This record gives sequence, structure tokens and C-alpha cells, in this order.
Amino acid sequence: MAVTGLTQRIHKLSTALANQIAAGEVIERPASVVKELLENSLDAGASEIKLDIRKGGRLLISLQDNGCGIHPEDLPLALAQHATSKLNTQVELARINTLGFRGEALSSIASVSRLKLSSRIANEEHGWSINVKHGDSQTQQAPTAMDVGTNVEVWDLFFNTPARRKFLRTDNTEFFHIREIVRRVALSRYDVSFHLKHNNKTILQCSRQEGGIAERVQAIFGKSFLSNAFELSDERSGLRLYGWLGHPEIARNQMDQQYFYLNGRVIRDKQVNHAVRLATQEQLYTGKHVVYVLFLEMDAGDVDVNVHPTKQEVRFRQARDVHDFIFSVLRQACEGNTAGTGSSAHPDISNSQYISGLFAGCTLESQEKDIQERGAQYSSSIKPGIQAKSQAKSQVRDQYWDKSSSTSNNFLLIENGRYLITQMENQIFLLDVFLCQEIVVLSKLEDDFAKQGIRRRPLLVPLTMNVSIEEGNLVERKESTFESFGLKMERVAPDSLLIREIPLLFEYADITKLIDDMIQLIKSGQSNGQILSMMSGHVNDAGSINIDDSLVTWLLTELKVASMTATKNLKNSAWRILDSGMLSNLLKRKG
Amino acid sequence: MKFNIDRNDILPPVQTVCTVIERRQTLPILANILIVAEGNKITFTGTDMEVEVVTSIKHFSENPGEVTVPARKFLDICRALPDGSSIELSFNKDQVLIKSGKSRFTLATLPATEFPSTEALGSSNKISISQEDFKALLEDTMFSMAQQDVRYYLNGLLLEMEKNSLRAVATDGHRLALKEIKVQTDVAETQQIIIPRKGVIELVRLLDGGDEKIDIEISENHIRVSKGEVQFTSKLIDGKFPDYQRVIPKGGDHPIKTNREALKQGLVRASILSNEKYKGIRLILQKDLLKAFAHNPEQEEAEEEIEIKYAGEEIEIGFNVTYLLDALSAIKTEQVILNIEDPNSSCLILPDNEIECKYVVMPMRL
Repeated sequence: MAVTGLTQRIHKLSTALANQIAAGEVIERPASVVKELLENSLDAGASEIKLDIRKGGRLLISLQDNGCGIHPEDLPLALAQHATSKLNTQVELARINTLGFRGEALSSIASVSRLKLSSRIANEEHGWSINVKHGDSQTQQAPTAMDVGTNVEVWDLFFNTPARRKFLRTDNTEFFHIREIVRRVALSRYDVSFHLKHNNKTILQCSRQEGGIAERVQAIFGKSFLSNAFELSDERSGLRLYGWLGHPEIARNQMDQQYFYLNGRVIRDKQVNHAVRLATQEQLYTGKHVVYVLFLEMDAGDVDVNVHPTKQEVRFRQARDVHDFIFSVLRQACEGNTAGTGSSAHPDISNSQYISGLFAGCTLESQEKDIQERGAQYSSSIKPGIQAKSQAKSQVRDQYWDKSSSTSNNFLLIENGRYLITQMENQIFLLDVFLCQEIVVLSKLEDDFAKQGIRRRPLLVPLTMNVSIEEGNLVERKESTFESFGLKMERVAPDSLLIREIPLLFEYADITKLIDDMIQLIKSGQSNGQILSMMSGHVNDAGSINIDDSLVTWLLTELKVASMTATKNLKNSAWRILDSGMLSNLLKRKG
Repeated sequence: MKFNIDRNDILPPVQTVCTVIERRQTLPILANILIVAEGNKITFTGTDMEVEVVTSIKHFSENPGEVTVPARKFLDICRALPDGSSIELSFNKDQVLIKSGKSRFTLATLPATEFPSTEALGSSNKISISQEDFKALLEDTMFSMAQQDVRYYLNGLLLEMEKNSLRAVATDGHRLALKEIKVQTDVAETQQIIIPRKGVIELVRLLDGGDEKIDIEISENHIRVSKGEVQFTSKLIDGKFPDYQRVIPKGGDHPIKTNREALKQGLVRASILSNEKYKGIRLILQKDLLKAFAHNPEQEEAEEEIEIKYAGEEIEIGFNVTYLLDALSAIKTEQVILNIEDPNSSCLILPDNEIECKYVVMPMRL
């Protein structure tokens, strides 16, 4: 059968087109450019890196470092495809020690932007600069005045690839990704100072940290992180893992604060994620993600980083061993450390904490039991329990409301007050107390929010809260938003907030945690509805559970109102009517 | 170990030490009490690792020794045996045999060596004070302690010692209670300690109203209260209590003076219909008149009018009624003084005598 129509002949792609296609893999968005440039600077031994971003990187990404520079004769070559100074032989490919090695970053960037590269090496009197437009290598080199190091200016990214440009998000979102990249890199290299500006405003600045990695971690995560994290460090058969694992109390709703470095390179690896998840899941609620900064060091020959152009994926030669090693170190940290090493640091585990030191004798004699006990205390301190309060509570709280005199509800609490059985209008109801509280509080919040903003209660003893500088900026910028959610805060230091007023309904909630959650939601641009629903979850914080007669009365009355608006799904998991069909189903003899 | 003892002699000390035993233990041995028989003394110890109670009775034992027995069961057995009966307790291998008349019980034991013991107190300050005064000091402030607050130092009671006074302060961040008594202490400069919540509750339970003297010893990490043969020890919370002086307002220009009981009863009645989670009550202050309003989700309303002495401007202010009632109950005088400046500032409640108690309550925006 003859082929009709035009037969396309095969031909070689032009270099410029080939580069653009390659750029598609490496340069996904402005943040990818930043990542490649930062890696180049670090490979060049820079100790000071300045980044200037305009319009989320769309207009300009400019990087200035004090690294070793590029030899003037090599400048045009630096922009050519598959040209690099980091790799010479095949043997070296098996033992990659630099961050970059593929020799395609600059050429890719040059093919999708207007690039200016200037560099000066130590022995030269001045630097040389080169301008590239659209991957055209026929460019003129011109002398330029500059310090030793390299400057890269990337103008008008994706100017010639409209498709890519269309997929860019808002400037703020793109910058958010850039900042994330810089944070990641800054975490791994405390010996390098970083300065990040966006539209001429300083966003992130970390000087060289003399105090080592801990200081840098603190600079990025905020002061409170280290005191709320287990520090760990372990070495076994050529593998070394160190870093910090956040306490379950500071676990987050999203996976945004998980940093794993392999030989100084950020990676996202399924094996690693799985090991961390496995080690921490028992301590976490579902849907919560532990915070960590972990550094794994191993022989460069035992890992293949040449899997994907962005080098986030890696392959371990002994994948199983690496997985098991990470798991065991983290598990140990969670279990062994809870009352021991970290004890002075974490205020949250209030009960177990000051006990541990007291009865020293017992620790030695029954160490095994002790560890179990710590585990038990640990888990009980993070899962809201009401064991401790039951006796103490009734004495002080209920003295004015005689049980018999209040509207007498007959109810039965089971599972420490998590569930409640009661009779209303000749039907037996089974309620999930926590969820019901959430539903009721959510409907109150929504109501308040729509009317006048959430009502507040001033605090007698204001709370201080440590945040990162960016979070502080956000709180300052969005002051009125936070106020409409019932929070009045004052920024008393760049990284410290004073909380003056809190939402009316959250008397005993863990307010700092609530604010932290809110900052994250606002930062990621979540809707008001999502923020309100997050808030309602905090009504069940450990400190606020006080299930007494008046609360149950309130809950039952409010539920009648709230149930009008709650979705069917939610209603189904919040309460059920126990009719005879349901009961016989539940108790049916099996087999 | 073996001894014979009258049921009525052994019951009180066992009851005393059993009070600190938690219903659920983190370690099996914490469900037990330690019994040590030596020469002419039998000592009983109960602990939950945070609070420890030790007491002893004078009694001769045939064979000295030590053992731990399940607290709850041992107490129930002693209590259930007839009044005045004689109990023989002996320890053999790993069981304790209890004989009394025609009753025989064997109880499982755990090795006494595994029983956690408090480390010795370091250098300490001592105070001697009447039981009654100390109990009142704790009782009149403890209701303001926080409970499972993340600010762990609020989950306890601040005890501040000065040369001539002892002060108790508690706050949960929304209200504060302070009481001070005059007493001679041997502290050179002001010393602050925080007793954990559980310790305060147990201590109050242990003390009774008599004016018998008790000895308080305070070291860096512990407080020990000795009352006759009973010795109570609690671990302290290591933390910095907020600067309470800063949150106590100065009295205003227009204090409200009223009959305490009348105000309290009015608020109790209004609070019946204050069914919100936050127990809100709205107060309107007018010249010589206080109106209290409460309503619930069912749109039912309560309104109370209470006669007061007040010469200031009209103010409308919202409170958690529980907080007001707690303070009004702790005050013992017939008249009470309230200082309310404006709807956003805290309210100071004082007894109508020499100022030794102060209660501060934060309003809320209803």
C-alpha cells in the first residue's frame, strides 16, 4: 500500500531546538533555574551567595557568588551542551561528589531565556562577560569589572516558549517555590551565607553559621524547632544519619517541612519516605506529617544520582539496608529519647518530664519496663486523654452546678469520653463527642465569621510564640485577616509574636499550635472555610476537654441546629441512632 | 517478714498512702504499696512517681522485712475485715499471706527492691505553719490552676516565700488567684517554686482543718510536707512562672461594693441559662445597680438585678461566670469589692478586709 501525502524526512534537530527540549526536563519553572544556579555556585566553592529575584523570577533571576569563577576561555563553552568541569571520566560518573555533573543546566537555561554570564577567576585583573540570546553561541565576550566569582543574570525566562509561560503561576507562588529551594539548599550548607531578595526586599538572610548546622536549622525553622525535636546521630557500616526529628506535637497537616539530604543533596525518595513514615506512624494521627531535617552520608559509590535530570531521585545500591538503617535510627529516637535526652527541652510532655529525673533508682533496675513506660507516657501525652482529669475536675469545676438540678440528661461516656450514648425522644443515640464538638463549633465559627468576625477574648497572661521571620512577616502583613479569625497578635521581635487575644471558643486550646496551623493555611492560600474547619478541630485539644453535664446539654442542643447544615457524610460519622436493626446487626452471631 | 496487728491500727495508714495510687499505672509496681517492717516500726509508702506519701506506725514485728502488695486489694481486704479484728501478715517466697479469724488471703507481690524511691532532698528551706492556714492557702487559689496547658508551668501552683510571708498564685491565662499569709520562714531572699497540679490536689486531700503545725521543706526539686507521721513529697515543676504582679490591675476610681452572697446567688441563678460552652454572662453596671444577663442556644434568657454600691459610668462587660463564681466562693467576707475599669480590661475582685487575697478575671467579648 502506498503512503499518500507528504512523507516527512528525518533530519537532525538544531542545537537550539534540542536545548529547548532538554530544558523542558530540567527547567520546569523559575525555581528550577535557581536550583541549578545554586548548585553551580556551591560546586564552585562559593561561601557567599546573593540572589536577586524580580517578579517571581519571570523578569529576572540574578545570582552572584564568590566561587572560583570560570576561565575566560571557557566562558562560551560553559553555555554549550554537555560541557562541564565537574566530570572527566566514566569512572567518576560512578562516584559523583559534586551536585551537578550533567553539563546541561546552563545551556538549557540559555536556550529559554536571555542570559548574561560574567565571571572572574582569581588571577585575572578583570572579569569577562558574555551575553546569550536564544541559545545563539556566536556571542561576543566583553571585559567587565567585578569581584572574583560568577554572576549569572537570567532575564525573561521562557520568553520563547509561550507554552511554558502559560503554565507559570502567580509571581508569589513562583517565588514561594524559589524560596523553598533556597531554604533547602541553605539548610544543607551552614558554611555558606545566603541572601535572597524579591523585588528588592530581603526575604531570607542567613550569614555563615559559626555554631554549625544546629544554628542554621534554627535560623530557617525558627527558634522553637530545636527544643521540639529529637536530635539524632548514628553511624553504622558506612552509613551515617544525623539531624532532627520533630516531636509528634509539631507534626503538620502537609508534608512541607520534610528535608532529607543525601551527601548534601536534597532528595525525595520513596524508600526514605517509607522508612520515616514507618518509624513515626505510631505516634502520629493519620493525616499528620512529621517534621524532619535529616542528613544521610554514605559512600558516593553506593548510590546512583544519575537517575533523573533534576537529581531528586536516587537509587541506592543497598536499598534495603539504607531503609532499615533509617528506620531503626528514627525508631530509636522516638522511643528511647522521649524522656531521656530531650527531656529538658520539651515543655509539651508536661507530666512525664519532671518525673523522669526523680526516681533515678528505678531507671537502672528495670530499664526495659521504663522504656515501655516512657512509650506509654509519650503516647498518652499526645493523644488527647482525659484520664488524669476525671477526679481532679469534678472537685473544682462542678461545685456550683449540682448534677440533679441541671437539665438532667442521661448519658454514658465510653472510651474516656470519646463517645457518648444518650437517649433523646425515645431513640438511642451514639455520638462521637470530638466530632460533634467540631461540627458545633464549626457552625458557630462560620456564623460569627459571616456576621462580625470571630469574637475574641483578651488573655490575662499573653502568650509568646516563636516563629520564623517569614511567618512573622506574614502575620504582620495579614494582621486584619488574623483578627477576623479572632486572633490579635503583636510582633515583638522579628521571630517572636505576643498573642493578646484569642478566639472566644478556644479557651483551653493549644493556641500556638492553632496559630501555626493557621499561618500554614493562609500562606498556602487556603479558603476561609478551610481555616475555620482547621480551627474547629482545635476545640478537642487536650487542655479543653471537659465533658460534664452542661457541656453535653450544650452539645445536644447545638447539634440540633448544626445538623441542618452538616453534610450527610459528616453526620453519619458523628452520630448514629441505635435502632434495633443496627444493634442486632452489631451483635449478630458470626458464622 | 511477719507481724500481727489490729485491723483498726493498720487501716488509717494504708488508706492514707493509697490516695496517691493512680487508677492506671505506667509501671505495674506503682499499683502496689511498699510495707517495711523493722524493729518497732512499720512504714507504708505509695507513689505515682510524681507524688509520694510515706507514713509509719509504731508496732513490733516478729520478723523484719519488706514487701510490696497490690494497694487496692490490700486496702479493700483490711477495710472489709470486721472492726477490731486482728490481722496476721506474713511474707513467704513471693506471696503475702493475710490471716484474720477464719479468713485467709494470699496476695501476689512484686520485689520491694524495684519500688521506686525518692532521691534524698538536697539543702532545703523550712517553714512551720498551721495546717489550717496552709490548706486554706492552697484551697483558695488552686481552682485557677491550668490543666494540661502547653505552658506546663501553669499546670501547677506557684508558692512564693519571703522572709515574713508565704504567697500562693495560680493562673490558667484567663484568670488569676493570689493569696498571702504572714508566716516566719527561714529564706534569705524570695524563693519561688511551682507545685504540680496533682501534688496540690493530693496535698489538700491530706491536710485537715486543725491548727496542728506542719513542717514544709523545700529543696531545689521537691517539696516535702510532714504532718505527724505522714510525709508527703512532690516533685516540682521546673519552669518560670509568669510575672503575676504585672497582670494584677490597680484598684480603679469607682470600686463596686456589694453583698457577696447576694451577688453569688444572683450569678448562680443567671448561669442556669448560660449554656454556652464558654459560660458567658453579660453584666451591665449602672449607678448602684448591676444587671446580669444570660441566654442559651434555645433563646431562653435570664436577667438578674443585684443591688450594689457604684458611682461610675455605665459599663457593659462579658465574663465567664464560672470564673466570677470561683472567686466569689473563695472570698469569705460578707462584702466584696469589684474593680471594673472598662469592657476590655481585667476585673479585680477583693475581699472587704486587709488585702490578702486578689482575684483577677479577664472579660470576654460576647
